[in-house]
Amino acid sequence: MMDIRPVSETALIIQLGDHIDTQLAVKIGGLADHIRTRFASELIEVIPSYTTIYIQYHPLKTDFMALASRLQGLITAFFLSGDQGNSSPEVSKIITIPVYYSPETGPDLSEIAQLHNCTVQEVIQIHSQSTYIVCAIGFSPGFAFLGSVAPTIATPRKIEPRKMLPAGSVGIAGQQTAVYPTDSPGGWQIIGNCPVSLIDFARTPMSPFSVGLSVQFQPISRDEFFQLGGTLWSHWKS
Amino acid sequence: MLTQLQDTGRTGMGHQGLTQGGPMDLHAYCWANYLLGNRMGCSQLEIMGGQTKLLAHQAVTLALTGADLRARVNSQPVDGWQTIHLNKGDTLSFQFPKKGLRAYLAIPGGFAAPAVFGSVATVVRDGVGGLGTAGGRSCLIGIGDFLESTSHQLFRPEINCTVPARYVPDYGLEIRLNLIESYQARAFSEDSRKSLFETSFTLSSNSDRMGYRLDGAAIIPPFSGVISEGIALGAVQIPENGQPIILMRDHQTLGGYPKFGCVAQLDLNRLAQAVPGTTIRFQPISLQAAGKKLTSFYSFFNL
Repeated sequence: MMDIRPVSETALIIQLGDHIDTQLAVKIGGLADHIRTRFASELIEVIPSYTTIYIQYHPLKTDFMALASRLQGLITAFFLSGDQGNSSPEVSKIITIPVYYSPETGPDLSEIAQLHNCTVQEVIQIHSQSTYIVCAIGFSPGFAFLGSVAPTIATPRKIEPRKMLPAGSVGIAGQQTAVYPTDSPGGWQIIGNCPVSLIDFARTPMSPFSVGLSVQFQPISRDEFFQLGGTLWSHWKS
Repeated sequence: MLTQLQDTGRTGMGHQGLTQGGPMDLHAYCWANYLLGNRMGCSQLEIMGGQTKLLAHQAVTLALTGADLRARVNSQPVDGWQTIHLNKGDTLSFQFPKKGLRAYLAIPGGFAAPAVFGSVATVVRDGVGGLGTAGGRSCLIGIGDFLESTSHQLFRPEINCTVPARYVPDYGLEIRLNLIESYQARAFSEDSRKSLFETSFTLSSNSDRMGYRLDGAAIIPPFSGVISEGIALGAVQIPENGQPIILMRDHQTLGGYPKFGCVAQLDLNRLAQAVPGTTIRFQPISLQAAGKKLTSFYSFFNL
């Protein structure tokens, strides 16, 4: 499936699927990098997500018709080449995120366990044994939507979002999981905290995540959490 | 009330979740740099709502455009949309807005500030831009902040320019927004389309640099959401309550609401100067017609 449609005077969107599929996310990540490199001088933003690639272009350097026909050719060639995103050595890399899973850093951990009739230890085990794919980045800088959480611990968002969460909070929303890179409001179910900073505006890239990469969470002890610079958040409410 | 540093925005970082930012009224912003012969990327102050006072530590030539915030040099009222010369010790102050909401103040060379990913544009939500460094601290301009230029030639008595009257917008009452219907528009019913184009809306006070909310006839969205996808400046989102949200400069990078289309970008400049309660109407425009207007604007200002 491929459909290229205008969005505004300076933007178009490429639709590559109609349902969430982590394998598609890997392809989309590779394709977005490819497009960004090939058309660097004409494009302003290339934003991949679950099933789409959004492109903002410079209106004096190209227009919808010209860009769409060149993209069509490039995308067809990309999928025919069989690389499908594996051309980048980055794709095979797995990012490991240390997490201190505990009620003191993850106030929703016990509730999730109760909801799924299992122990807290089982929730931790299930969450940390899967490998996740970065399907999209957005909401806030460096916030990576990771799929997919095992159905045995998938949990809907909180009805009332929290006004503030500490940076590093690891959460679950439906079959997605993510780490909040900065202090932020948020409605995800929080199960632990990553003490290592996942964002640095002075660094390029500023975040370790990009669409299509693999991520795994590694449980750490309370001591390791503090050794890595973790601090406890005293403002949890409800 | 809310003074922030803006340049043309932080581009090319959307795939990492960073908002572009940039001036809410790009038309007024571009004219301010144009009057001084600045590059368009030279940063300016976006002064929202007035109630701000600046002291000249040395003689300086400025350009002032945008909203009428009753500017005064010392106690003398001065007009906008022109260059202004200040002597050392002069003050430039702004009162409550008379017309419009945001004034733009440019100096030769732009204001000096540390760039974050190539831009000093303030995005409070992302914690970047302004005079400060990234992360955590307020990036708005506040009492006691000292602003410097990137240029050593601040006083330019030879520059005395005024924007031609036909390019000075009247930030009057009603606003007509040209709307490019885009790919999800076809999913809306004919009744929804009628409500959008044939009734008027009012600008809600629940609006900010991220999005402008409108109150009016409910537009029934054809579905409750789409899988999150990249989202454009000017997009008209229709959430479940049927009240449109127009995405402005600080809009998020991904969105999941159905969208009727996009407001033509040049019309967002005028919208950015509207106060809550302003009447807003939509009218359709073709992609080609909107594109033509935008490219001539980009060419003129060398954007």
